[in-house]
Amino acid sequence: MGSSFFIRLLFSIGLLSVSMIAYQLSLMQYLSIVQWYHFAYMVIAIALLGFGGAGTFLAVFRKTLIRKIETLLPLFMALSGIFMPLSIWMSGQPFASFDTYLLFVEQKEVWRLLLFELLFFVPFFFCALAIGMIFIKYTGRIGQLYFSNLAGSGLGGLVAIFLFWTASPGQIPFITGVLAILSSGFILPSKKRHWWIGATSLSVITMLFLVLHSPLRLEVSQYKSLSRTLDLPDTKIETSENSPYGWLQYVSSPVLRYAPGLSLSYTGDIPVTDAIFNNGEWAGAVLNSTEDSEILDHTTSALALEIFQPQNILVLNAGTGIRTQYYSRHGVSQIDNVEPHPLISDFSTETVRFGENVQLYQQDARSFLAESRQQYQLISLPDIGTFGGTAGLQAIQEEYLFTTDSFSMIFDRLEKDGMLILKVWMDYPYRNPLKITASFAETLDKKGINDPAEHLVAVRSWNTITYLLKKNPFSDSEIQAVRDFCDRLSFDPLILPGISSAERSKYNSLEDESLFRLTDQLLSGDRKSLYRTYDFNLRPATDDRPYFSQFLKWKNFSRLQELFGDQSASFFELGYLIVGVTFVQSFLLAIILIILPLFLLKRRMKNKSWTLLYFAGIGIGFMFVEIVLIQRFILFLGHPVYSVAAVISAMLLLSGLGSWLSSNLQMGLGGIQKILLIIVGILVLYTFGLPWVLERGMAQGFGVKVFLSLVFIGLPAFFMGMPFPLGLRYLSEKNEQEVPWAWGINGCFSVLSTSLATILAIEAGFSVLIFLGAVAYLITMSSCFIKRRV
Amino acid sequence: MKISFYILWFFLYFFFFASGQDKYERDRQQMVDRQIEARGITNKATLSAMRKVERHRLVPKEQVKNAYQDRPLPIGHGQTISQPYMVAYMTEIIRPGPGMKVLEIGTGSGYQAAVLAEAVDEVYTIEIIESLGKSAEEKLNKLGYDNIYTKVADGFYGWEEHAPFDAIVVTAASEFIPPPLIEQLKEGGKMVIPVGAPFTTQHLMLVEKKKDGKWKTKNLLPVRFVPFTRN
Repeated sequence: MGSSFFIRLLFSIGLLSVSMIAYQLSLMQYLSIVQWYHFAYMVIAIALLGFGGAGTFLAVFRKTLIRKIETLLPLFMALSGIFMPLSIWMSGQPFASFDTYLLFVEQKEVWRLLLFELLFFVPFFFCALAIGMIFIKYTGRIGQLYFSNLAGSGLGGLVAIFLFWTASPGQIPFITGVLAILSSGFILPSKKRHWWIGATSLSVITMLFLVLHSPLRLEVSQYKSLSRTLDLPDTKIETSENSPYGWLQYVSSPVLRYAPGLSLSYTGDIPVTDAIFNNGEWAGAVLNSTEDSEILDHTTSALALEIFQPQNILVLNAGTGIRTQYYSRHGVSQIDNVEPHPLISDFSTETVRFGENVQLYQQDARSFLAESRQQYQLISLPDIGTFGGTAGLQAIQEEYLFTTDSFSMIFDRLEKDGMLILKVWMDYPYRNPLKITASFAETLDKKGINDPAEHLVAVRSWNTITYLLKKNPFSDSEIQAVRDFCDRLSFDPLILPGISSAERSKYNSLEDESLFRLTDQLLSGDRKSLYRTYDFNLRPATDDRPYFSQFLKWKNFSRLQELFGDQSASFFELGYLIVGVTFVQSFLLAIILIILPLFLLKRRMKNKSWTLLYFAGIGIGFMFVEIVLIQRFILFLGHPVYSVAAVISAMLLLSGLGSWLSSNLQMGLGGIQKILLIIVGILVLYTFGLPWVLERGMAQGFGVKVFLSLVFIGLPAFFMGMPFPLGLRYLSEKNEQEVPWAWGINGCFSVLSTSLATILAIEAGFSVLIFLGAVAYLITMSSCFIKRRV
Repeated sequence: MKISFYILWFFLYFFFFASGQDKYERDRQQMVDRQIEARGITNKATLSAMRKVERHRLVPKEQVKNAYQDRPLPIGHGQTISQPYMVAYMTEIIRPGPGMKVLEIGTGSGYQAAVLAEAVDEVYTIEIIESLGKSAEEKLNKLGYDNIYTKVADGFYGWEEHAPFDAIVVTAASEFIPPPLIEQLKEGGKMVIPVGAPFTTQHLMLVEKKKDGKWKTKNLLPVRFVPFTRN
């Protein structure tokens, strides 16, 4: 092999890796737009499935593939690139178009989901096949090749973020596809070279043409709010812009109106508004003028201003700025408007400009709370839930602003007589209002307040409840002001010091009194028994389990099915059930695509148990740690995209570096055990210490945070990259025939662990999950002990 | 020979067509017996309407086989046709009867309008999505309903020319109740609003406008969730 060819090979594999990771991240964004964000973890599982399937394919057809490598290598790279946009295009065609919302309505959707996964599997499969062939063919120079692969993967995360800022979601798959096709251009075969050059150039030109003139059309689910809004007459998208925070659309309509939970006593006009959508989901209404915000005077949101006149207000996750406009209209002299999404602020402030009393911060709310030392008279939080309920799609979404840790920080930012205000949409059976009451009660408990009922007020309309939490107990005059407010607008108090049973349903009666009874029980201190006995999970969210909207208790699901019917019960927690379905499907696919073909090899197995324990442990441990780190760094870096990009890139790069270094180490099982012990030690330390470190680091600037992220992600990743190649080398020395099985087992368990990790994080929390990761590595270590003794 | 061939076809056609019709008729009666009456709907006008309206002729083609199942069905545009029991429950609540005039906001498939039309004198129904509104109008005309008046418009404003209404059914609820709808409700009239994400109607809101023009809302639970039954 000439040095010129080898250099080209290094470029080729590096560029292919860039394109693959950028594609993986863009696929996550694409699926978040056309469906919901739940598929981010499915994409990781599909990528692993592609790599596992390719490993098995390579093991079965190794001789043929290596013999024809000159032709097949560029072909597979090009196919990987072509299938990047093609698989997305096919997934939007009527025969394949899947809709999350119909998963438990139409049986065929289960098969469509399977087809969906298989379509996205194809580009990963071809890419992994090409990389695997290179590694096998040029084993002698594996170190440099491996480094190029990992450096490319690391760079892929940055390229994805660049593309999110500069290209639309319909263009990005073509761009990553072009990069993959170009990677094949470095290593075209010498035979029929002109034909190859022609075919490659034609593919690239076609893709570039499509990028500019016919990007992929995004077939957004008909149940997403963007699709439903665009069905309204004369409603259109005025402008769209992409960013790592999401794909944003500004929509104008003559029939959209904003008056959430309006009092029925109101008889005036209701303002027509525009709206902003992020990834196809409602991000907020945009008022045409600040005066339009006065409509909030006739909703429960007016509660705070009704009983006191704050002079400085913090508005967290301010969205399109309606709450800020409302407070500004009422003459508040200082308002800090904190919104993490830069485009949402930009789009909404183009329509209505804020006055000089408003200070805009483009920052994640938790980071702002960690950094700011200012005290506020009022802190306003975004609404919880949506009108009519959410169908449980938020169940697995991290909501770090609604954890007890977050409420505790907010409490500390309040002035002595300061208040927190929050609106919750009513649901049935009652979940959101009860969980928020429990969260406030626990927060006050943590602050040493014995009687939370003295510090809480809640007012109910027919469809919303607005809560006020006050640092000091409410005064008699404030309590009277709440009563007057309710009488004037026909609302009913739900929580109020000295409340009577009759005044709780004077204007808006409920069919039974369970909401009142359960609310009182949560405030009375007998919370734990209610958490145990209620059919839904009411335990407040914490930073360790930040799933505020997760209510399902699996053991009660059959009761809900009996009561509400199979179909309706599924919509209590659709998001969580989807994770369960993808777990089962990816398990089946892993068996079919990775494990079953290995039986074709018919080889003698001497180290069956050790191979299973060792490589399954590594597969599970690595993915558990990766998922925990992604979750932990969402809060730390302030956004899921940054977290996913940082964790995937840093883990690939540093674990690759570890693998590369380990290839120079002459090490037996004893040496491997020591490395595994280091990993277990780090993970146990992380179980208890990482949250503490990250909490203290949150107040730092973004640059420092990125540096800290690389250190804390890179440290375990470096060591975690070693056991796999060391184990493979050990196995190949003992019995090379078992190596494909080791690949297969590792791939299969990695695929499974992705969905399993999400389920465990919800049920047990991140600390338990990372601890289980340590246990998995401990099992791998134990298998070495057993092997040595045998 | 040719004539006997035609006669054979004639009989075969009617045999299959009639048996198909019988099947839907049978399914519909079973639906009322098992899903509606058995769950406590007792209003005679409602039960009679539910027995008459051919639900399978108002759902999209691919949903015909599911028409009489105990669940909501997708009808496109992110909309659903409600579960038969919910339609019956909402109809019963407004106490339908002769001489009544009802406004429906959100025609959707046209099924709720058809059920109401069997039990009251006049039904006015408004749909904002043009394709849904036109399709429902066509189907309702084919079914021969001459007491249903349809229009494609923004339901926010109600239908002022025909106000006041004895009852208003808001099947396409929004985050607020438009003030014009309250105004167009007769004193003593009822407005009913199902609340829930698609496929999941979980509770109903009833607005009663009293004789003095004041109102009161009541949350109604078609499916009653009772916590703590295990204890």
